Amino acid sequence: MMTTFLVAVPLATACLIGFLLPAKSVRFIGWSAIFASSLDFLLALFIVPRVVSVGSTGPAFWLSLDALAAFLVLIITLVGFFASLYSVGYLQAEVEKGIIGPNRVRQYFLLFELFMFAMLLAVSTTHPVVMWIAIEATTLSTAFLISFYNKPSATEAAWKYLILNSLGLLLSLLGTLIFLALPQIQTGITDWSMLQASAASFHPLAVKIAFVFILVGYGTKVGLVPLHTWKPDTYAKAPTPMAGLLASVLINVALFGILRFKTVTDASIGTGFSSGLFVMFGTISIVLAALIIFIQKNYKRMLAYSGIEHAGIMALGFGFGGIGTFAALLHMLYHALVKAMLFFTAGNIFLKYSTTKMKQITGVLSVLPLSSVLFFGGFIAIAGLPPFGIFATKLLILSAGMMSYPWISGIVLFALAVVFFGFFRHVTAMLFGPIPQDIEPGESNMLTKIPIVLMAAIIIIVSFDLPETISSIVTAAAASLTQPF
Amino acid sequence: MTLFFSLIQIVAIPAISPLFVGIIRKLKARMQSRVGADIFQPYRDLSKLFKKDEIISKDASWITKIAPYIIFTVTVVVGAAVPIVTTIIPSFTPGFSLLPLSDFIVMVYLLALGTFFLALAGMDSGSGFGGFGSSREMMVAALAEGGLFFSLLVASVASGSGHVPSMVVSLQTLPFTSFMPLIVAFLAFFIALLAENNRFPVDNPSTHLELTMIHEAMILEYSGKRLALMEWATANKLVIFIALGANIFFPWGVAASLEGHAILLAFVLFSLKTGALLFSIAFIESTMAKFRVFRVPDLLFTSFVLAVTALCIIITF
Amino acid sequence: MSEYVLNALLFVDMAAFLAVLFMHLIKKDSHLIWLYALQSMATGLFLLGTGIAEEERSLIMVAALTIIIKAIAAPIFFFRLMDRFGSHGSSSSYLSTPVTLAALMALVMFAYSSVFQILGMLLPGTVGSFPLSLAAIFMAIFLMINRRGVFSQMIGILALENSIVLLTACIGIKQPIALEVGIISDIALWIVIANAFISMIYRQFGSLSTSDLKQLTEE
Repeated sequence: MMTTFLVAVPLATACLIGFLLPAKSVRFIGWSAIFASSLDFLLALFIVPRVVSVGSTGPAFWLSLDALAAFLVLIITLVGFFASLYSVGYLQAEVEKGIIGPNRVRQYFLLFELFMFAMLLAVSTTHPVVMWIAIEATTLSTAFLISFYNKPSATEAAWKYLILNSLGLLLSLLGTLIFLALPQIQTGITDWSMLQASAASFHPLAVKIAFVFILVGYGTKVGLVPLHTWKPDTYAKAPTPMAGLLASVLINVALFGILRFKTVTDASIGTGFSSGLFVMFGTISIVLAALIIFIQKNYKRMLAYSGIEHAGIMALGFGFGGIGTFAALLHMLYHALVKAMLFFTAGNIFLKYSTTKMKQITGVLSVLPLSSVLFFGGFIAIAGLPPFGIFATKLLILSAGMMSYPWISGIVLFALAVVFFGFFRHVTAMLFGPIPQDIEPGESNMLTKIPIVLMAAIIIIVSFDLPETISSIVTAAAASLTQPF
Repeated sequence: MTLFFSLIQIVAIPAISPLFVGIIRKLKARMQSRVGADIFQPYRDLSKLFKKDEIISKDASWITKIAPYIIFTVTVVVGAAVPIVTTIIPSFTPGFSLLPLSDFIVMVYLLALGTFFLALAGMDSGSGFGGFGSSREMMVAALAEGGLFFSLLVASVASGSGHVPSMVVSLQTLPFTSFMPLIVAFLAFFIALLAENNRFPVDNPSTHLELTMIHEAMILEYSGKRLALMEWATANKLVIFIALGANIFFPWGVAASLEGHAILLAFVLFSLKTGALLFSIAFIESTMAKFRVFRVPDLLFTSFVLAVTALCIIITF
Repeated sequence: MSEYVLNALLFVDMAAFLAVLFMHLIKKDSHLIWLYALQSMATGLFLLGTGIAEEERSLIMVAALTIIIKAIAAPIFFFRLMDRFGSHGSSSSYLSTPVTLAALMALVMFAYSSVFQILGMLLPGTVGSFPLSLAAIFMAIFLMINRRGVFSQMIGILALENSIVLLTACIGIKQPIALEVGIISDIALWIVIANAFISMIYRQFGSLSTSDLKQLTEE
């Protein structure tokens, strides 16, 4: 019951914004979006303990949450809440600067709510094809959000996004349909658990083919190398709050899709095949992203490549298995929070400086003291320095890998060091130095400051003292992923 | 009876080739809303040329004098071995028969011999146009050879023999569903036909602009009876290709014996098949523009790839 | 299913395959739209034939929906879009025609190889020739890579989707009708969005060739 409500809220808000509210009332639109996302977050806070104690919420219209899905719902609603807060502030600043008009604000929030609805539907549904339809819906709803500013480069980025993601998703549709054909009965498979139960009878080669299609397909959405080419362009050109949401949450939803199929594959042919693929893609992603971060000139693109690197780390964690799975799941939460916060602070910098090229940005520390401190803090966190949570998860993942793949762990460790030096170099160049002529110090407005402060607080709390509920749900999710058959 | 028939086989192709050329010209004229010359006009042209005087450049060597005879003889010899209405090969005595000639590899490369001498003759007169005509012709011939050879190879693999009359006989009994690769091979063969016989879209046989000529450029310096032999040889080559295409890739109706009613039926079917081919050549000439020279290698390479595809299909299924 | 129906389905399957093959060879974008219409019609007829032969109402309805939306409505939509761009709309490819043909031949042989044979034996009653549809999938992906032009990329995605539908129908995978309708409406929405994008691209860039889309660099 609560699950249905959870998923229906963004859809209802989208209809409200689209049809009922007049475009002029920008304030009202913004507050209804904030209200919807906070409602969703509260529901998630109720659902998660329920799932920990009961095991899963009951089935209702093909919607049911098990541990993994509930964990992802928590991440989505948490980051979505902050994203809606920040979006209101960011768009308000842009309207004041005259970049966009009130009609575009309505369009933004309409598509925003549809995007949230699609993501929540994707993780809470139990039918693989409905999940595919929902993830395709995320592509469709975000396409116009990426080309929001209507400049040629934004249109080109959105077109590249649309084509590459549709290609990937069609391949994953093929994989999904093949998976559904594997149990030798024609109809009757309608959810994950039934698929998993009959996994032992699948033909191994067919499972491998289907899983490769799924990995390539949803992997395009995750951004694993070499299917990552749309990411830097998209994140650079999309409006910052949306880029933040894409970078932090959509990655996790796509990974969730792959993980669902990974459990089925592992139940059928053992963990070797899928783990090998995960480790391979993860390593390549980390190494390539590290090299490009070092020479990057545009801070939004740098954040995109950091996202690719972390997708690689998570893939590595899931590939290594054991404690690595637990660490990778926890990494999802930390990475989502830190990456979103980084994007939001970067958005504040962009509002002030109107450029994304790093060599034109200096002296941020004096101009935007709050944002720059949190920006720097975010980079420390995302590069994996203690005492933040990402340090712990990276350590756990690498130690899980040390035993079975020692030289890969070595390469990855080196790449992570390269990433850290690259970040340090770029961020200190931006923070210190003289203030450019025509920039006046001061943040834009209240709502661009509150979310990032709150997020920083949550990151610190969660890094030091992980709440009991979260750790138990992550344990339950990890158990469901590594359950031997 | 067989002696009579053997003699007919030898003179058949040279006898009917000007008629085929006349038919193509008439069809082209009709499609272009002209009346066009009579279909027997090429015969009159040839006899006119035979009566005319010849002028030979003083820089020309013996090649210019001998090449037309060689080329014409080659086409007559190959033509004698091509099955037109029957698959019986003429043999004069048990020791002397045209059997070895009717292997497709021998045919293709005898015709290549003719092309070689034609190219030499083009360069021999010392005129610039002849030279570049020869170089273009060599490029076309070199690239078309792949498509031509491989398409006939497909038919040979499908029928299990390299000997053209036996190929025709075995292909007649092939089930319909395995004809698909042969259709693809026929497309490759048709492109090679257009290229080797200087037809559209590779070359314009009736052009008078020297810079657009390939074949015409090489015979530009000829006159009188040698010119007549060259033109006749071109017509012979066209009929050889058409007869090969019609009888190998659409082998139904070719008689296996010399009985009267089989020959008559074969004759009717042969006319239909060649009529269709002549119509398509005329159609292409009336509707398409000639390709510019740099696009010709693409076309010929496509013919090669098509033939190789057909070969792969035949081998794997 | 009777021999006659099986042969008819095989013929329709080959028509769809040839449509994708010819998409690589033609020069003008308007021909591309016609070939896509042909492929959609072939897919719809395939579904219709399977539905009639197995007497499943839902499959017949899905087939009808496919034909109406993909074979009739979408091409009309595209032609209206093309009218607005005048007679632009011819694109070249990165590889020349014969090399393209050779690459396509390699893809078809890959689809027929033993790697994918298992897919045909998953469910009882494989109809048509599933390696052809699998080859059509690979060829549609190659179309997107090889041809310049925004239109080619869009038709490539749509042709890919058609081939996937055809492949699943060949192998015999069945879905509840609600999901099939969901997938079709997804594609319909995609077509609308892609068309809006193409108009935007034309307005902002002035051409539909991908070599003009070079605003994004590593700067």
